[in-house]
Amino acid sequence: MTYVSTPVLPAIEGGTSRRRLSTVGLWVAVGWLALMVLCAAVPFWIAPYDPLEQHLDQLLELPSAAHWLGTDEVGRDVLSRLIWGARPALIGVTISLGTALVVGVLWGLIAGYVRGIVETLLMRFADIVLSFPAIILCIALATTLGGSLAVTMFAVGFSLSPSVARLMLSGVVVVRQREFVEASRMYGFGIWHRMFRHVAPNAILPVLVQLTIFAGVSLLAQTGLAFLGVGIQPPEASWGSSLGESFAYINYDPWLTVFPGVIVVLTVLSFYELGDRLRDRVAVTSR
Amino acid sequence: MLKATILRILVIIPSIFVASIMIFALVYLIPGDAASSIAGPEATLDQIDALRAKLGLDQPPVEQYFTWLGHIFQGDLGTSFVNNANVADQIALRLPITFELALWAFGLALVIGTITGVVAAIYRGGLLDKIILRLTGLGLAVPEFWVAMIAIAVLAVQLGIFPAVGIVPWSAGWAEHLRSIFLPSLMLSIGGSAIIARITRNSMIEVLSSSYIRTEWALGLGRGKIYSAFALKNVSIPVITATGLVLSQLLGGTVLIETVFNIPGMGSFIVSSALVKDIPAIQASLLIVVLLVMLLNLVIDLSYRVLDPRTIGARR
Repeated sequence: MTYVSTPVLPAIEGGTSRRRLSTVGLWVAVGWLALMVLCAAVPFWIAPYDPLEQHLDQLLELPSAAHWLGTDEVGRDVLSRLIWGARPALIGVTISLGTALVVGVLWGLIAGYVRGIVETLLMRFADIVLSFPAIILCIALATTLGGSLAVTMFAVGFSLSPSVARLMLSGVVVVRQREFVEASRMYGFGIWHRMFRHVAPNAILPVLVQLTIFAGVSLLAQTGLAFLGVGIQPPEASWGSSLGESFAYINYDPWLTVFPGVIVVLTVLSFYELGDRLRDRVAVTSR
Repeated sequence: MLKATILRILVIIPSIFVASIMIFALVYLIPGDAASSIAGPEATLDQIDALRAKLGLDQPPVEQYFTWLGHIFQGDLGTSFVNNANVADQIALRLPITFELALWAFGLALVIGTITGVVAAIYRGGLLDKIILRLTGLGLAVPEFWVAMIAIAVLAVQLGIFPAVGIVPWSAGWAEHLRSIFLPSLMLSIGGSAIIARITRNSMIEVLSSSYIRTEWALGLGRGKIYSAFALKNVSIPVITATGLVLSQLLGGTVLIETVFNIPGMGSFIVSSALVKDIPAIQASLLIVVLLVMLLNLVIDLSYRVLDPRTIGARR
């Protein structure tokens, strides 16, 4: 395997006159994500109903004035459940990003700075972990470890960490030859001081630029896993398990399936949009 | 060249070894006592002890590992905890279905991705390019299984164009078989198509702006000839490098797509085994899938060397 950075998603290159295209997309993305953060922080102020409250006289209702997005198979308000679902979604993304960052950054940093056989072995190990299809690795890890939301998102984070390690390595390879690293060695600073104070902060840029992309990938993984019944358990509201529950009723009430999916897509698109803009910005300033 | 090629082939052996240790170690990740955790709260002590012996957990770990590996080399993948079925038989039934599904999906992704990528590059900056870019962005952001659910509701149940669930076997006629496998393959190919489209577009733009293509234009060669004979050939190399990523994603994607379409393949097998902690079944299927990905990567790497001889001497 080559040691060049492997971004999770290929960027759009070759000029699309995006820069002239004003910043509407960026603001829509930021606005949507802000709304999701708000939903996750204070769902009890925003949601019109209790997400677990069953109205058994109002099953599978279509969208109406009383229930803007209708009700589900046990008469729960769909909108309220989606608003409450923002919480596990964002907590999950945070846990998996945190895990991927801590593990991946250390992994790439040690490989790139120590070099030699350590680098070869560590990056070979990254290749091996990457040959497990990510979602299958997550299912195996999460179910054997016990399957709560936190454990599942640790597993997602771990499956992302070799990609973070590769990106980190690509940064370290450039920085480790710079004069200031050499200078700090001559001043007699230890290897850990050099690695964390001098190399890491200057090498982490490629990782940070991809961070929102990882967030999108992580949310997609979480949704898929919850759909399969791995991670968050019913009756707790989550976007993925809402999709799973709705599938049995898709012929009676297709809206039940459509809405959670739309929310997931909008959130992932917002993460990606943010990432694309960040990448453009970095590309401009480093030129 | 021969030496580098042989070395690349040999490297796969320690990789498989390390992967098998990781997969084996899975049983040690079960919190607390693995045997009683799997047996459940209602099991008697005798049942737990029997399970522990069956798992081999009463032996030291290294010994267990080599026993397990030895059995696998003899084609014995163990028996399921849940129904005592032979795991190797199960996998032999299910693997061909998943393999075929992934292959169709890959073919579709290749065709859809390359065509849209080339069209976008040719009309770079135009309306068509913008639409294709938006679509690829969307393709990377949608959960494939969600699109599949909606497609089943609309195309299969409402309109009746495709069967809603399951796959009709070849023996029931090839037309019926292809009709039943088309929709799952198409849904599985969404992400891969988007990735291949973006890579094709990027590298096509790069190639089209290179000086030798400009020379072809100056020589008065036709559009069709330039696009097909010169540009596409060079675009194929970056696409092949992305193949490993796409194939691994496709195999992962089968987990969700097979569950949605109720297809008895490896993906749905992994999910159902994992949810009941059927350790021998999970370990065996993980090993098979990883082996498959590693072998596919090897084939891609070797074909890459043939297509682009510049990489032969390079350290990889």
